[in-house]
Amino acid sequence: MSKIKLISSDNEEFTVDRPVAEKSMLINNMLEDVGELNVPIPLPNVSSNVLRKVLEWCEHHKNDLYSNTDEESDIRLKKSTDIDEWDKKFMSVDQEMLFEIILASNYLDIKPLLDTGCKTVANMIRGKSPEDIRKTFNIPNDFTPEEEEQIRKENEWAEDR
Amino acid sequence: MEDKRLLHNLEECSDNDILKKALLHYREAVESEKQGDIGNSLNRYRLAHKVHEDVEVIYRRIERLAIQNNKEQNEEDRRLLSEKEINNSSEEDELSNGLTQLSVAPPFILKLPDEVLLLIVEQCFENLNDLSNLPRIARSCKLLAKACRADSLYRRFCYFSYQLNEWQQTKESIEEELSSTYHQSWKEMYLKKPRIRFDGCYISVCRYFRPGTSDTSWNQPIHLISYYRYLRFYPDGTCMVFRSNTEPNLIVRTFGRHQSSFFVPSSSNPAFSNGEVACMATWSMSPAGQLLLSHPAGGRAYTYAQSLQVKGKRLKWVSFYAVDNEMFETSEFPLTHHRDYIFSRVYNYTSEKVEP
Repeated sequence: MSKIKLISSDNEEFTVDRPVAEKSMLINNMLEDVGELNVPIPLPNVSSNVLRKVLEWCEHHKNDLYSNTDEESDIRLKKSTDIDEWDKKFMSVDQEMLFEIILASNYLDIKPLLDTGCKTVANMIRGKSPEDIRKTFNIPNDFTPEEEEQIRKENEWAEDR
Repeated sequence: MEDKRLLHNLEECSDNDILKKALLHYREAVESEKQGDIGNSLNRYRLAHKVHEDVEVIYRRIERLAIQNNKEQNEEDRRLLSEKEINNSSEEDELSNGLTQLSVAPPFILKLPDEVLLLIVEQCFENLNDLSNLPRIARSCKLLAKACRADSLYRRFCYFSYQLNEWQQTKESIEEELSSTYHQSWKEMYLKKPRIRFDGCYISVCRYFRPGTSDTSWNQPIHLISYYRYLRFYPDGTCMVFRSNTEPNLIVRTFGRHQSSFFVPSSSNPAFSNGEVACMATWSMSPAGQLLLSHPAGGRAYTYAQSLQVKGKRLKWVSFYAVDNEMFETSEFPLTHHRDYIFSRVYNYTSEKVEP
């Protein structure tokens, strides 16, 4: 099996099997461009500790199949599924790492990893009060009382659901 | 200790989500009250009690537990502090300790690009019951509020409505309406398009005075007549129709087609003593919200039809008539005492088990 070399932003070199690296659409497309040339691929937006984590995910999921169909204009949505146990464990990291993984999967274009990351964060948001959401993510309240009132009115319709 | 166990049990029970919802409303009510916003606070309390009737008791228990824990924590802190003083630690140490505690993690979530933030917000909604999260997420901060306004989020909501059959329409015709009526805006469509809701019932209160007669000419009694019309819709195009003198608080919780007692006239259920019987109607609605309900009556000799117009959470009367099933003659009833049906959310319905 052919190997691919990846270089993180802090110049660490990673060697992985081609199917593992190809979980990333970005790398997949790059490999198509360079053909059979075995040059290392620089990833200037991903640091080594994040890349190591992302590659661990790719390794575990290298045999998964997923459809990459784009349904932007359609009312249909892909059915959201629960996060499996392995991914749950994989995602139980501190917030800094969690958001780094999300950013990296967005940049590397690894849709299922991005989805899993977003779902993990969504689970931290769901069912919480505005105050608790701010506490969870350490976000400052940047509304004036008038703005807050306006936002409340705007979304009032959803309260009895 | 007992409280702790009780809370634990509560967490495990199936209406956990409903309780959480109720507690959230209650907590916000308390906060509003503290800030002096009595109007909002009252609304919240009402909502909380509607969602879960024991919310107050549970809220108090949780608070008491928290206070207790806090007290224990404080005692622990004081003990540690005095130990520290004994150890004669320098002031600088304490200062640096305080500083590290102050500089907690920066808000990483705010560094995400808008499209990723939107993806996260989208994932917060898996069905229509999650919609009550929307006002809370929007009120957390400006960036999340912005994500909550995205049209693609409303496309998701529209999809939920379609999936639940709240619009009784095919996907194709909904998509066609999006451009023909709602200016390509999913948000406009979600908020304006007439829908039938299944997570509650529609109630019309009829009240009027009728002059009575008496044996003497001394007085002339006046009767206050009041009765209620109840409708509960189902996604499969059926609707439960019930007319009763009994007030909503005794009816709505159990009101449903799986409750056979509603369909038996000589029922022992005290909620409807005078032989009131519910029946099943069929309903259909046009994209513009013209609703037609029809059900058999008078030993199937007639068909009753209620023609209504959906306006937000109201069903306005258009006409009410009976059709003779043999002669096809139509006779219309006057609508003098008929008031609009108004939607009431009933949280029981959401947690009901799926009927066979």
